[in-house]
Amino acid sequence: MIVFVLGLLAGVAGAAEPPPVRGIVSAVPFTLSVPYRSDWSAEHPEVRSGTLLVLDVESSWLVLRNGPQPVLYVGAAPAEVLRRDVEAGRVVVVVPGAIGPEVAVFFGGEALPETVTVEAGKLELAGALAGGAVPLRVPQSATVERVLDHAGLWRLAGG
Amino acid sequence: MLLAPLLGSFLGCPPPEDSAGACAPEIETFAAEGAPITLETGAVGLIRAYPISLPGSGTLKLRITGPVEVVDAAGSVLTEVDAPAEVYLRATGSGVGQIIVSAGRGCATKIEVRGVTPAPLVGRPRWYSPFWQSATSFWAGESVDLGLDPARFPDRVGIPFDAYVVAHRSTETWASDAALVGLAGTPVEGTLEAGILAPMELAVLDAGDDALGEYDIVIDQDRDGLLGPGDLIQGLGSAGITVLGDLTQPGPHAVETDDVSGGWFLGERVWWPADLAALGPRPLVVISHGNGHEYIWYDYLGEHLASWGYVVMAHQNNTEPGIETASTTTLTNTDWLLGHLEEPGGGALVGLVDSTRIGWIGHSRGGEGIVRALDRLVDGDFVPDNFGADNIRYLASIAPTVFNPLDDSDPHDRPYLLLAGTADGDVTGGVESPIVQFFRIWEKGTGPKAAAYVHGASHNDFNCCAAQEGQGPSLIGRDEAQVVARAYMLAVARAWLDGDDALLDVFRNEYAGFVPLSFASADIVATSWRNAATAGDGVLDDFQTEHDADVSSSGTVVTCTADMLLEDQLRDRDKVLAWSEDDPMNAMTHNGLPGDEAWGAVFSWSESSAPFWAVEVPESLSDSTPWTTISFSVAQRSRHPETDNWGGAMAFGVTLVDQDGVESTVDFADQALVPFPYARLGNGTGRGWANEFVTVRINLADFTVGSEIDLAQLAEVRLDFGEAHGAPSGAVGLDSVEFAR
Repeated sequence: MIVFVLGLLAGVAGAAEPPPVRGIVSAVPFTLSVPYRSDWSAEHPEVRSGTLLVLDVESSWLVLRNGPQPVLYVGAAPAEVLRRDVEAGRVVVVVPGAIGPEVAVFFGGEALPETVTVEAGKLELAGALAGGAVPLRVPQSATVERVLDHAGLWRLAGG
Repeated sequence: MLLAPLLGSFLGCPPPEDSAGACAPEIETFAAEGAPITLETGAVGLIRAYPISLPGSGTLKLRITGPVEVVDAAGSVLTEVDAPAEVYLRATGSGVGQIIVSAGRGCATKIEVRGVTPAPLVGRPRWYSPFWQSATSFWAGESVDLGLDPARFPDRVGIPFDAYVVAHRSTETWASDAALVGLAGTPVEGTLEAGILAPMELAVLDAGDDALGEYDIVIDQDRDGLLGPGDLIQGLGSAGITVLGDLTQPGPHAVETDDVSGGWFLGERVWWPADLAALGPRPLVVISHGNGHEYIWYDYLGEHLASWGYVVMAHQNNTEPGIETASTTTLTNTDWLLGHLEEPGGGALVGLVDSTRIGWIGHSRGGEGIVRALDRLVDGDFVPDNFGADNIRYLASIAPTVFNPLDDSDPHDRPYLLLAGTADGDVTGGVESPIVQFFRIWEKGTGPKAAAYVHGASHNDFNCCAAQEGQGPSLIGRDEAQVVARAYMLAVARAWLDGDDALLDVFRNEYAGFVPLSFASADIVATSWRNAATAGDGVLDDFQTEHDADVSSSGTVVTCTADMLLEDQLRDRDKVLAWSEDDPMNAMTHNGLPGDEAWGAVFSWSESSAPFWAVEVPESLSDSTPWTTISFSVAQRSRHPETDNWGGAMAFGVTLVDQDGVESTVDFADQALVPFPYARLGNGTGRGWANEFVTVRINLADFTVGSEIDLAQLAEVRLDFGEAHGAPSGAVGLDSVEFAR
């Protein structure tokens, strides 16, 4: 699986045109033996299962800064970023729980992910959809990866 | 014996009215004829005591008024003396006093004395009034000049002396070993001449292997090669002077390093002195990187601090979710290393890390993370296994963010260093967002705090490898920024972990007059210093209360003849740097949000004016002798038309006025005291970035050079601006006017 994800990360980025999130390259459902509490939103939801998404993103949006920076959302929740390849325009994120066949993936307002509440996330999603964000198709996978814990998830992402 | 070479000079003061001419007791001393005797306070035994000889016969009564006492050789206080006798005068405080020596039958002689607080004997010649700056710290290779002021010591005029530089000794050692062993070509023979203070080159000193040489200065007045009564010493108690070496160069220890990991976000790089076992347990310095940075990007700091004897660890920092997660990884990594000292170097650290002395350095989000981590420790929100809140001895943030409310990112009372660059293209330090206004954290802390705001340094200059984002002219580049960072980070580590307080003079002294060795000549650094809130400074006006600009925070009258005086929060209201009269606090960044507490004053002046800002000294502070300096913070106001009219670094004069109206001025003239704002473009029209406050501290003793001013009875402190004082036009911000130690 490590080889699988690394292969995706090595993919060639698409044209550098908005919207910054161009598509979902891959989706890998997983379950965890040892759940963890996510630090990527204010409520710290417990993650027992979910999906790893590999996103195709305009590279300039993946450059990390320290000052205020737009938050990457999948649906109404900040995406937990496990790995990024700025040059390739690829980022691997965790989406806790179930995910539908389509989901909006977008950059919202400037904030720290750990401060985004559920309510704030809903407002961001509503704003994004009102602004023309188009939900992206989620590739389906029949295989569910069984992972020990958070660190195992990180390794699954190629870390 | 002691007085033998010096006797023969009769005290020339006129006898008191009840004296009986020739029957008045004879008193011999080395004092110049007619001059009152100056006694420095803080005598220890007979050191700083003043010898007098009573060669007559019979019992002499001593009538003493004022802050002086008479003692015998054993230190016993006397009220009468059986002549002939040798006795000693000691000051018990500041002020004027007298001793009437009476032989009865109306026969008496009077000795006039003046108690003064000890002041530095050495310093630097300056080209601005009073052309002398007393000093206690010097750079290696710099000339240490002797500066005895005849106005301070009129009793010593015309009397030869030997001036020594000696290795610093404790008070106890001086008491048991008074022999003077001169260094660096001393003793140097001299004679105090009447008139004005005439500096005399004394020695050029080195700092030794640990870049901190400690010396005492002795004026051997009786030239007997011993520190004894009548001699002067700079250095009783703590070192008289410290000589600082090159803080940018590697220290004396070879360095070893190892990479270890305790798992998820517990990757660490560790550096330590190769001879750690010989050194014994040493403090730990932790480095927490910023967002998008790596823990392996701080070799320059890790190697530098380890070469000076510290165990240093940089760690993976979980900065992307936010400050809380970053603070967690600072805490968990510190705890993990202290619990796993067997991991690095195959156990090289076991038993050799002093977990009670920890410093945290953080960069960017990591710079806020360390502050948040301390707050969590203090609040009991995180309880480590291997250290506690009291073990965190200082925090040093490099261009920190300020995402959190300041009650959550609170340095509390810990010593705090802020290091940042004016060309920062990430956490810009500008007015556009309170999140990037790192001076807000600096203002929040209540411990001693230092700041170094480096012209032309970018955000990522302070690590090896992140993409360069610097914005603005004259970028100094990564190499030079790291030279600067090495010096300042070493200074605070040594001061706050090992007690080498003198190194903090790199912040306390004005930068232009005390540039660290090996800094590029073109470097400009706006340095600030503030004592701990509990230090007992004598605050004249910190602008935190009494917000009427005509009233100081100490409740006294403020008089200002400059234009547009305003007292307000140090916050840019419109978040745009272009000058607007509607936003007089333009470019202020020390206060960014409601709830922030920093206030200050602003005013301006135009050509052909000679304005001043003056504060009346409250009665409670009129005796300034408990303090050693007058201190205040000044900034040129970025993009203000009058700042641009002047267009350069500026200076001003500082005048003290005593209750008799005697004035004394230290006038910085054309000294580049307050830098011209960094000429960065953006966020509106004009050039300039955030206002750069610098702290100016002047030794109070410098106001007494050639002056009769009475520092124990001050009435006013005045700042003089205008062409005669260095800047024909200008606009400044002012804060924290106070007497300090």
